[in-house]
Amino acid sequence: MDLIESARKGRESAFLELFDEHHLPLFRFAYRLTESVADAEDIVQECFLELLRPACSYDPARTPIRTYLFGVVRNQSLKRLRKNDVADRNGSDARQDRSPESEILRTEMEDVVARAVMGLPETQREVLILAHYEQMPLAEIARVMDFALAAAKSRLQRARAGLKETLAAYAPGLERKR
Amino acid sequence: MNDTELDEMLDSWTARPATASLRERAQAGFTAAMEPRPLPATRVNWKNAFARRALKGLLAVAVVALGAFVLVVTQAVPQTLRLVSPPVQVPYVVDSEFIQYASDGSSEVAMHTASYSQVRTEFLLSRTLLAIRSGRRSREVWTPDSSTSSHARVSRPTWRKGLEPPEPTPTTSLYTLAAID
Repeated sequence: MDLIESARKGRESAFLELFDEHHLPLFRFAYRLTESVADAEDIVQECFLELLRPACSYDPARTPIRTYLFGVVRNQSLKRLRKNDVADRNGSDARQDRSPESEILRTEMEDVVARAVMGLPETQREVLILAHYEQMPLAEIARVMDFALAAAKSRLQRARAGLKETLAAYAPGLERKR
Repeated sequence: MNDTELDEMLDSWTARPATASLRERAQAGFTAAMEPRPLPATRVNWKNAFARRALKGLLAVAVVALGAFVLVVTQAVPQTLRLVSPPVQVPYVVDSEFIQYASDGSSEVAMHTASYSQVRTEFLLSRTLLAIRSGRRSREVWTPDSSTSSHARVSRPTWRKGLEPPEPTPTTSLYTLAAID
Protein backbone atom coordinates (compact mmCIF):
# COMPACT_ATOMS: atom_id res chain seq x y z
CA MET A 1 0.00 0.00 0.00
CA ASP A 2 1.47 3.39 -0.95
CA LEU A 3 1.86 6.38 1.29
CA ILE A 4 -1.07 8.31 -0.09
CA GLU A 5 -3.52 5.45 0.39
CA SER A 6 -2.24 4.91 3.92
CA ALA A 7 -2.55 8.62 4.70
CA ARG A 8 -6.08 8.69 3.32
CA LYS A 9 -6.95 5.81 5.64
CA GLY A 10 -5.77 7.87 8.59
CA ARG A 11 -2.17 6.77 9.07
CA GLU A 12 -0.44 9.92 10.29
CA SER A 13 3.07 8.49 9.89
CA ALA A 14 2.44 7.94 6.17
CA PHE A 15 1.24 11.50 5.79
CA LEU A 16 4.28 12.89 7.59
CA GLU A 17 6.64 10.73 5.55
CA LEU A 18 5.07 12.10 2.38
CA PHE A 19 5.33 15.63 3.76
CA ASP A 20 8.98 15.29 4.77
CA GLU A 21 9.90 13.90 1.39
CA HIS A 22 8.34 16.67 -0.71
CA HIS A 23 7.68 19.80 1.29
CA LEU A 24 11.02 21.58 0.92
CA PRO A 25 11.16 21.90 -2.89
CA LEU A 26 7.47 22.75 -2.87
CA PHE A 27 8.04 25.47 -0.29
CA ARG A 28 10.96 26.93 -2.28
CA PHE A 29 8.88 26.97 -5.44
CA ALA A 30 5.93 28.61 -3.69
CA TYR A 31 8.20 31.14 -2.00
CA ARG A 32 9.88 32.15 -5.25
CA LEU A 33 6.51 32.58 -6.90
CA THR A 34 4.88 34.56 -4.09
CA GLU A 35 7.93 36.11 -2.35
CA SER A 36 6.17 35.47 0.95
CA VAL A 37 7.10 32.87 3.58
CA ALA A 38 3.61 32.93 5.10
CA ASP A 39 1.87 32.48 1.76
CA ALA A 40 4.31 29.74 0.73
CA GLU A 41 3.70 27.82 3.97
CA ASP A 42 -0.06 28.10 3.60
CA ILE A 43 0.18 26.86 0.05
CA VAL A 44 2.32 23.86 0.95
CA GLN A 45 0.04 22.88 3.81
CA GLU A 46 -3.04 23.22 1.64
CA CYS A 47 -1.38 21.22 -1.12
CA PHE A 48 -0.81 18.20 1.15
CA LEU A 49 -4.28 18.39 2.67
CA GLU A 50 -5.69 18.46 -0.85
CA LEU A 51 -4.42 14.90 -1.27
CA LEU A 52 -6.64 13.70 1.59
CA ARG A 53 -9.89 15.07 0.17
CA PRO A 54 -12.24 12.50 -1.36
CA ALA A 55 -12.69 14.72 -4.42
CA CYS A 56 -8.93 14.87 -5.05
CA SER A 57 -8.21 14.34 -8.74
CA TYR A 58 -4.76 12.77 -8.25
CA ASP A 59 -4.30 9.54 -10.18
CA PRO A 60 -1.02 7.73 -9.33
CA ALA A 61 -1.29 5.70 -12.53
CA ARG A 62 -1.07 8.82 -14.68
CA THR A 63 1.06 11.34 -12.78
CA PRO A 64 3.98 11.05 -10.36
CA ILE A 65 3.18 12.57 -6.99
CA ARG A 66 5.94 15.20 -7.32
CA THR A 67 4.51 16.49 -10.61
CA TYR A 68 1.00 16.62 -9.16
CA LEU A 69 2.12 18.48 -6.03
CA PHE A 70 4.11 21.05 -8.03
CA GLY A 71 1.03 21.59 -10.19
CA VAL A 72 -1.13 22.23 -7.11
CA VAL A 73 1.47 24.63 -5.67
CA ARG A 74 1.65 26.49 -8.97
CA ASN A 75 -2.15 26.91 -9.15
CA GLN A 76 -2.42 27.99 -5.53
CA SER A 77 0.45 30.46 -5.96
CA LEU A 78 -1.15 32.02 -9.02
CA LYS A 79 -4.41 32.40 -7.11
CA ARG A 80 -2.63 34.14 -4.27
CA LEU A 81 -0.61 36.35 -6.58
CA ARG A 82 -3.78 37.56 -8.29
CA LYS A 83 -5.46 38.13 -4.94
CA ASN A 84 -2.43 40.00 -3.63
CA ASP A 85 -2.28 41.99 -6.84
CA VAL A 86 -5.82 43.22 -6.19
CA ALA A 87 -4.90 43.94 -2.56
CA ASP A 88 -1.85 45.92 -3.75
CA ARG A 89 -4.00 47.96 -6.02
CA ASN A 90 -6.27 48.68 -3.05
CA GLY A 91 -3.31 50.07 -1.15
CA SER A 92 -2.55 47.24 1.29
CA ASP A 93 0.83 45.60 1.76
CA ALA A 94 0.68 42.04 0.53
CA ARG A 95 4.17 41.10 1.66
CA GLN A 96 3.92 41.74 5.35
CA ASP A 97 6.43 39.05 6.25
CA ARG A 98 9.29 41.19 4.97
CA SER A 99 10.69 42.91 8.00
CA PRO A 100 13.12 45.83 7.64
CA GLU A 101 15.86 43.64 9.09
CA SER A 102 15.36 40.96 6.50
CA GLU A 103 15.44 43.55 3.76
CA ILE A 104 18.81 44.82 5.04
CA LEU A 105 20.20 41.31 5.23
CA ARG A 106 19.32 40.63 1.64
CA THR A 107 22.38 41.20 -0.48
CA GLU A 108 22.23 43.63 -3.29
CA MET A 109 22.84 40.95 -5.93
CA GLU A 110 20.17 38.66 -4.52
CA ASP A 111 17.72 41.51 -4.59
CA VAL A 112 18.60 42.37 -8.17
CA VAL A 113 18.22 38.77 -9.33
CA ALA A 114 14.92 38.33 -7.47
CA ARG A 115 13.54 41.50 -9.05
CA ALA A 116 14.72 40.41 -12.47
CA VAL A 117 13.11 37.00 -12.15
CA MET A 118 9.90 38.43 -10.75
CA GLY A 119 9.84 40.87 -13.65
CA LEU A 120 9.59 38.04 -16.17
CA PRO A 121 6.23 37.12 -17.72
CA GLU A 122 4.34 34.66 -15.52
CA THR A 123 4.86 31.43 -17.45
CA GLN A 124 8.52 32.20 -18.23
CA ARG A 125 9.14 32.85 -14.54
CA GLU A 126 7.55 29.54 -13.53
CA VAL A 127 9.51 27.54 -16.10
CA LEU A 128 12.78 29.20 -15.10
CA ILE A 129 12.23 28.59 -11.38
CA LEU A 130 11.37 24.92 -11.93
CA ALA A 131 14.24 24.36 -14.36
CA HIS A 132 16.98 26.29 -12.61
CA TYR A 133 16.14 26.19 -8.92
CA GLU A 134 14.38 22.80 -8.72
CA GLN A 135 16.41 21.11 -11.46
CA MET A 136 13.25 19.73 -12.94
CA PRO A 137 13.49 18.15 -16.41
CA LEU A 138 11.69 20.02 -19.19
CA ALA A 139 9.32 17.10 -19.83
CA GLU A 140 8.13 17.22 -16.21
CA ILE A 141 7.86 21.02 -16.30
CA ALA A 142 5.64 20.67 -19.35
CA ARG A 143 3.38 18.25 -17.41
CA VAL A 144 3.25 20.48 -14.33
CA MET A 145 2.27 23.49 -16.40
CA ASP A 146 0.10 21.58 -18.85
CA PHE A 147 2.19 22.76 -21.79
CA ALA A 148 3.70 21.01 -24.79
CA LEU A 149 7.38 20.19 -24.34
CA ALA A 150 8.37 22.61 -27.11
CA ALA A 151 6.40 25.41 -25.44
CA ALA A 152 8.16 24.82 -22.13
CA LYS A 153 11.54 24.78 -23.87
CA SER A 154 10.91 28.02 -25.77
CA ARG A 155 9.68 29.76 -22.61
CA LEU A 156 12.82 28.74 -20.77
CA GLN A 157 15.01 30.06 -23.60
CA ARG A 158 13.11 33.35 -23.69
CA ALA A 159 13.33 33.67 -19.91
CA ARG A 160 17.07 33.14 -19.92
CA ALA A 161 17.56 35.52 -22.82
CA GLY A 162 15.51 38.15 -21.02
CA LEU A 163 17.47 37.72 -17.80
CA LYS A 164 20.81 37.95 -19.61
CA GLU A 165 19.69 41.27 -21.00
CA THR A 166 18.36 42.55 -17.68
CA LEU A 167 21.29 41.37 -15.58
CA ALA A 168 24.05 42.23 -18.06
CA ALA A 169 24.86 45.40 -16.18
CA TYR A 170 25.49 43.40 -12.98
CA ALA A 171 27.52 40.59 -14.54
CA PRO A 172 30.98 40.00 -13.05
CA GLY A 173 33.66 41.13 -15.44
CA LEU A 174 31.40 43.66 -17.07
CA GLU A 175 33.77 46.50 -16.18
CA ARG A 176 36.69 44.47 -17.46
CA LYS A 177 35.00 44.19 -20.85
CA ARG A 178 34.51 47.93 -20.98
CA MET B 1 26.92 37.27 -20.45
CA ASN B 2 27.21 33.53 -20.98
CA ASP B 3 25.05 30.73 -19.52
CA THR B 4 27.49 29.98 -16.69
CA GLU B 5 27.55 33.60 -15.56
CA LEU B 6 23.77 33.74 -15.65
CA ASP B 7 23.50 30.54 -13.60
CA GLU B 8 25.91 31.92 -11.01
CA MET B 9 23.87 35.09 -10.72
CA LEU B 10 20.62 33.17 -10.43
CA ASP B 11 22.12 31.04 -7.67
CA SER B 12 22.59 34.14 -5.56
CA TRP B 13 18.81 34.27 -5.04
CA THR B 14 18.26 31.86 -2.17
CA ALA B 15 14.88 30.89 -0.82
CA ARG B 16 14.04 31.66 2.79
CA PRO B 17 13.73 28.61 5.02
CA ALA B 18 10.29 27.53 6.10
CA THR B 19 9.40 28.11 9.72
CA ALA B 20 9.71 25.21 12.16
CA SER B 21 5.98 25.24 12.77
CA LEU B 22 5.13 24.25 9.21
CA ARG B 23 5.35 20.53 9.92
CA GLU B 24 3.27 20.89 13.08
CA ARG B 25 0.63 22.87 11.22
CA ALA B 26 0.45 20.23 8.50
CA GLN B 27 0.13 17.55 11.18
CA ALA B 28 -2.69 19.47 12.86
CA GLY B 29 -4.39 19.86 9.48
CA PHE B 30 -4.15 16.12 8.94
CA THR B 31 -5.72 15.40 12.33
CA ALA B 32 -8.55 17.84 11.63
CA ALA B 33 -9.15 16.35 8.20
CA MET B 34 -9.38 12.83 9.59
CA GLU B 35 -11.86 13.68 12.34
CA PRO B 36 -15.29 12.20 11.62
CA ARG B 37 -17.70 14.89 10.61
CA PRO B 38 -21.11 15.07 12.32
CA LEU B 39 -23.98 13.82 10.21
CA PRO B 40 -26.34 16.41 8.81
CA ALA B 41 -29.22 17.34 11.14
CA THR B 42 -31.80 15.88 8.79
CA ARG B 43 -30.34 12.40 9.18
CA VAL B 44 -30.11 12.56 12.94
CA ASN B 45 -33.71 13.72 13.31
CA TRP B 46 -35.17 10.47 12.04
CA LYS B 47 -38.13 10.66 14.42
CA ASN B 48 -39.48 13.76 12.70
CA ALA B 49 -38.97 12.17 9.31
CA PHE B 50 -40.88 9.05 10.40
CA ALA B 51 -43.71 11.13 11.89
CA ARG B 52 -44.03 13.14 8.68
CA ARG B 53 -44.23 9.97 6.58
CA ALA B 54 -46.78 8.38 8.91
CA LEU B 55 -48.95 11.51 8.79
CA LYS B 56 -48.86 11.56 4.99
CA GLY B 57 -49.82 7.86 4.84
CA LEU B 58 -52.67 8.38 7.30
CA LEU B 59 -54.00 11.30 5.27
CA ALA B 60 -53.92 9.25 2.07
CA VAL B 61 -55.77 6.35 3.72
CA ALA B 62 -58.44 8.75 5.08
CA VAL B 63 -59.03 10.27 1.62
CA VAL B 64 -59.35 6.83 0.00
CA ALA B 65 -61.71 5.63 2.76
CA LEU B 66 -63.93 8.70 2.41
CA GLY B 67 -64.13 8.23 -1.38
CA ALA B 68 -65.06 4.56 -0.97
CA PHE B 69 -67.72 5.43 1.61
CA VAL B 70 -69.36 8.02 -0.66
CA LEU B 71 -69.31 5.57 -3.58
CA VAL B 72 -70.94 2.79 -1.57
CA VAL B 73 -73.63 5.05 -0.10
CA THR B 74 -74.60 6.55 -3.45
CA GLN B 75 -74.81 3.14 -5.05
CA ALA B 76 -76.81 1.60 -2.22
CA VAL B 77 -79.12 4.54 -1.58
CA PRO B 78 -79.41 6.60 -4.82
CA GLN B 79 -81.82 9.04 -3.20
CA THR B 80 -78.95 10.49 -1.25
CA LEU B 81 -77.64 12.07 -4.44
CA ARG B 82 -80.75 14.22 -4.64
CA LEU B 83 -79.84 15.74 -1.32
CA VAL B 84 -76.74 17.21 -2.81
CA SER B 85 -77.87 17.63 -6.47
CA PRO B 86 -79.36 21.01 -7.37
CA PRO B 87 -83.02 20.97 -8.54
CA VAL B 88 -83.51 20.72 -12.31
CA GLN B 89 -83.98 24.12 -13.88
CA VAL B 90 -86.51 23.79 -16.70
CA PRO B 91 -85.83 26.66 -19.10
CA TYR B 92 -89.19 26.43 -20.87
CA VAL B 93 -91.99 23.94 -21.54
CA VAL B 94 -93.21 23.04 -25.01
CA ASP B 95 -96.82 21.90 -25.23
CA SER B 96 -97.26 19.81 -28.39
CA GLU B 97 -100.46 18.66 -30.02
CA PHE B 98 -100.28 15.68 -32.36
CA ILE B 99 -103.03 15.59 -35.08
CA GLN B 100 -103.92 12.42 -36.88
CA TYR B 101 -105.37 12.68 -40.40
CA ALA B 102 -107.68 10.05 -41.87
CA SER B 103 -107.88 9.12 -45.52
CA ASP B 104 -111.17 10.98 -45.88
CA GLY B 105 -109.52 14.24 -44.78
CA SER B 106 -110.90 14.39 -41.29
CA SER B 107 -108.51 14.97 -38.39
CA GLU B 108 -108.43 14.61 -34.65
CA VAL B 109 -105.99 15.36 -31.84
CA ALA B 110 -104.26 12.13 -31.00
CA MET B 111 -101.86 13.17 -28.27
CA HIS B 112 -100.68 16.05 -26.08
CA THR B 113 -97.15 16.23 -24.77
CA ALA B 114 -95.28 18.61 -22.55
CA SER B 115 -91.49 18.62 -22.93
CA TYR B 116 -88.40 20.79 -22.86
CA SER B 117 -85.10 20.67 -24.67
CA GLN B 118 -81.65 20.97 -23.18
CA VAL B 119 -78.31 20.41 -24.83
CA ARG B 120 -79.98 19.11 -28.01
CA THR B 121 -81.91 16.49 -26.04
CA GLU B 122 -85.64 16.53 -25.48
CA PHE B 123 -86.94 15.69 -22.02
CA LEU B 124 -90.59 14.57 -21.83
CA LEU B 125 -92.51 15.88 -18.87
CA SER B 126 -95.95 14.44 -19.65
CA ARG B 127 -97.79 12.69 -22.48
CA THR B 128 -101.53 12.20 -22.89
CA LEU B 129 -102.90 9.81 -25.49
CA LEU B 130 -106.29 11.01 -26.62
CA ALA B 131 -107.42 8.86 -29.59
CA ILE B 132 -106.08 6.38 -32.08
CA ARG B 133 -108.00 5.64 -35.19
CA SER B 134 -108.72 2.07 -35.92
CA GLY B 135 -106.41 0.40 -38.36
CA ARG B 136 -103.48 2.60 -37.39
CA ARG B 137 -100.78 1.92 -34.88
CA SER B 138 -99.10 4.46 -32.73
CA ARG B 139 -95.92 4.28 -30.73
CA GLU B 140 -95.99 2.68 -27.38
CA VAL B 141 -97.23 5.22 -24.95
CA TRP B 142 -95.16 5.97 -21.97
CA THR B 143 -96.75 7.79 -19.10
CA PRO B 144 -94.33 9.44 -16.75
CA ASP B 145 -94.96 9.07 -13.12
CA SER B 146 -96.16 12.51 -12.10
CA SER B 147 -95.69 11.71 -8.45
CA THR B 148 -91.92 11.71 -8.83
CA SER B 149 -89.77 14.59 -9.82
CA SER B 150 -87.58 12.58 -12.11
CA HIS B 151 -87.70 13.42 -15.80
CA ALA B 152 -87.95 10.87 -18.56
CA ARG B 153 -85.56 11.20 -21.43
CA VAL B 154 -87.09 10.16 -24.74
CA SER B 155 -85.27 9.20 -27.85
CA ARG B 156 -85.92 11.12 -31.02
CA PRO B 157 -88.74 9.67 -33.13
CA THR B 158 -88.02 7.94 -36.40
CA TRP B 159 -88.47 10.63 -39.04
CA ARG B 160 -88.72 9.96 -42.67
CA LYS B 161 -85.62 10.29 -44.71
CA GLY B 162 -85.02 13.88 -45.77
CA LEU B 163 -87.13 15.36 -43.05
CA GLU B 164 -85.14 16.62 -40.12
CA PRO B 165 -86.94 17.37 -36.87
CA PRO B 166 -87.29 21.10 -36.20
CA GLU B 167 -85.43 22.56 -33.25
CA PRO B 168 -87.73 22.99 -30.28
CA THR B 169 -88.68 26.58 -29.60
CA PRO B 170 -89.81 28.18 -26.36
CA THR B 171 -93.26 28.63 -27.84
CA THR B 172 -95.92 25.97 -28.37
CA SER B 173 -95.20 23.75 -31.37
CA LEU B 174 -97.54 21.78 -33.55
CA TYR B 175 -96.18 18.55 -34.92
CA THR B 176 -97.91 16.33 -37.40
CA LEU B 177 -97.84 12.71 -36.44
CA ALA B 178 -96.76 10.65 -39.39
CA ALA B 179 -98.16 7.25 -40.10
CA ILE B 180 -95.67 4.68 -39.05
CA ASP B 181 -96.93 1.79 -41.14
